[in-house]
Amino acid sequence: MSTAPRPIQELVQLHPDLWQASGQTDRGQAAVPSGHPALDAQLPGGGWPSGSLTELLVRAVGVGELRLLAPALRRLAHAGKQILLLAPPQLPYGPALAALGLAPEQFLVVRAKQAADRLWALEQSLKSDSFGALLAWLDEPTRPEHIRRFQLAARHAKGPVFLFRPLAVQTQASAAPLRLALLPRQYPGLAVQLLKRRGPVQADPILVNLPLPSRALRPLQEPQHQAPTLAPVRPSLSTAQIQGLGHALDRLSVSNPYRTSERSTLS
Amino acid sequence: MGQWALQFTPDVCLGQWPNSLLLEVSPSLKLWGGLQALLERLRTGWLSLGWPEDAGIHMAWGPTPRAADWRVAWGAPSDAPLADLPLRCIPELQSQLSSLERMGLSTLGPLLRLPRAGLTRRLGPTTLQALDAGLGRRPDLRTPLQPPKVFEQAIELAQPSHDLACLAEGCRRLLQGCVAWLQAQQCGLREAQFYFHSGHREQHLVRIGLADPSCQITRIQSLLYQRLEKEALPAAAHLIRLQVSSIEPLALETLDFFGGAHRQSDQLRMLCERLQARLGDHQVLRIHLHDSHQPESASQLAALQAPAPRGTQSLTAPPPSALPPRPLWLLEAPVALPIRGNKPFYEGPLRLRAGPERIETDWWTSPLRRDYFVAETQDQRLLWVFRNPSHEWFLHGLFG
Repeated sequence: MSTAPRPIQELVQLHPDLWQASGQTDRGQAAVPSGHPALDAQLPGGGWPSGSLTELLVRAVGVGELRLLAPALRRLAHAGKQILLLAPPQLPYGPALAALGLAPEQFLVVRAKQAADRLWALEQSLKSDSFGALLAWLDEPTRPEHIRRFQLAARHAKGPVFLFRPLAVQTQASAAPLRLALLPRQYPGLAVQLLKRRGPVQADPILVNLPLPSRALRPLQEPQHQAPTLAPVRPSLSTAQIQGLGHALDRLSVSNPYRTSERSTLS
Repeated sequence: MGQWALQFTPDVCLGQWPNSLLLEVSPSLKLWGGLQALLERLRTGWLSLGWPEDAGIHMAWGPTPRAADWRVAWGAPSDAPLADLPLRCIPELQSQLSSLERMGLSTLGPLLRLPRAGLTRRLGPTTLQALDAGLGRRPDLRTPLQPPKVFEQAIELAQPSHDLACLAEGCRRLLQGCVAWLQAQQCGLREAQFYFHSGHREQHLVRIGLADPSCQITRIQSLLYQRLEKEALPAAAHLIRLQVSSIEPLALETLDFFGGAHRQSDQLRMLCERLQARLGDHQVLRIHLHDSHQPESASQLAALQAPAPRGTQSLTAPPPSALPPRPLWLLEAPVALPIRGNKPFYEGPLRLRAGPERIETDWWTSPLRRDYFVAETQDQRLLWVFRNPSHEWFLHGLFG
């Protein structure tokens, strides 16, 4: 008696860790939508995965990593959850968070001077399952065993866990199921390269538009903006009394903000 | 010992015999699951306080305080009827024991069958009042023990030691007594001070702080052990002293039928406590907004328990698009930038994108006049730089 071969879909449903390399399988994993449709289409589960690590590799601070996460964090903060920032590179600035729509009282900042303390704090936070989102910065080289441990501990978490690491570790193997490299592009763009995900390999980076919520910034146009020693200087007002500032600064242009030549290799 | 027993019932008073305690337990028997369960708890609790097993604790119960006293001295199983109580157990009859024995009275039953008037004449009215109180015919008023206002207890170690295990054991016993004292008053502690004495004068203080008043021994213990692991004692300690002076009534929580949100905020609080215990109180911070022109003071990070810095208020926010751009990351101190070819230099010449925004603060406190610009680096990151009146450029923030 021979049994008919089972279709591949049935086999894939057997265990949550089995997935097909050719197609995107939605595991039904809880995911927080990232707020950028082009990115959501490529992420497994349609958003940032909850309960597992997401590695974000940046060469230097300030390419737009927080702006990228801002829509998802806004959603979590609205639900009343707390957002933990572990060992951030600099001090998070309250008024800027408020301008992005993130209430500063939803944030908790944890600093630790020593690397061992940072790893301990990260593990404790993952095990406690008390946050809506966890953003951790691991700038020093971290062993792959530690990352695997964090991935196992992250299963308890009900929210997404973001790990910011230097771009140099892209060649190192990591237990995180989702790895993205963030490459700066001309304002307001950011190129997101999917290094690793549960699904087919994505060769080209995805461009996302991350404007700052201020009309002051406009795309660069030739000739360059001169050092404004002669421009009339308006006295600034305190953060609570901004009036009529709009006409002194240019409006944001909506013409093509993306560069025409794309570099797909990672520098 | 009396304070330890206060955790079981609020009415504890000293018994007649030396080193004896009377506990009124009938109102709270159901809470403890019956008399036998309570006796077991008392016994195990007593042993866990550190008394050796053979020191022995005699327990007995009776319908009235005096009857319990009599039974304890008797030592017979407590369901034996009071009528068989030997008269030597009743302290008021001690002086007349020999004459009663000659009368042929050795137990309580026959004594009570004698006519009352004759007994009063022979034994005296006070003795008969004591007998009546013991039998429940007369009320017996006792003054209950009051717990002290400040808890201070010390335990001496057998040998001076650095070892965490010995210190932990000593601290555990102190904490048990402390928790019993707290439970007697239905209060929780926010701060506990452990003094480790080594030698005559040196003492090392370890202060444990809790985010909310609590009387749970495991929580305080885990915080203490983490702190002890992190900090080594300067010298071997031979005496550990625990002092708790400020206590607060415990907030009674209503259990949410569906659970959920309470649990998460509790977990967050416990996580913050653990992090603070190991990393330090000033390393777990919240962000507070402050209405100020100066960017450094517009956002302040303050430790969790610290009250919000003076002047913090929620800003009635104008629409974000009307505000000048603010960076997501602010450097702790502005970094001076070299100038090359008339341009500030940070990993390449910077291009200025927006500005200038002049921020001038109160000239009467700290004069400040800065022109802020948004600059772009060679690899297309946005920075927040400013120029001061002497045309020096500084980097103050990064746009995340």
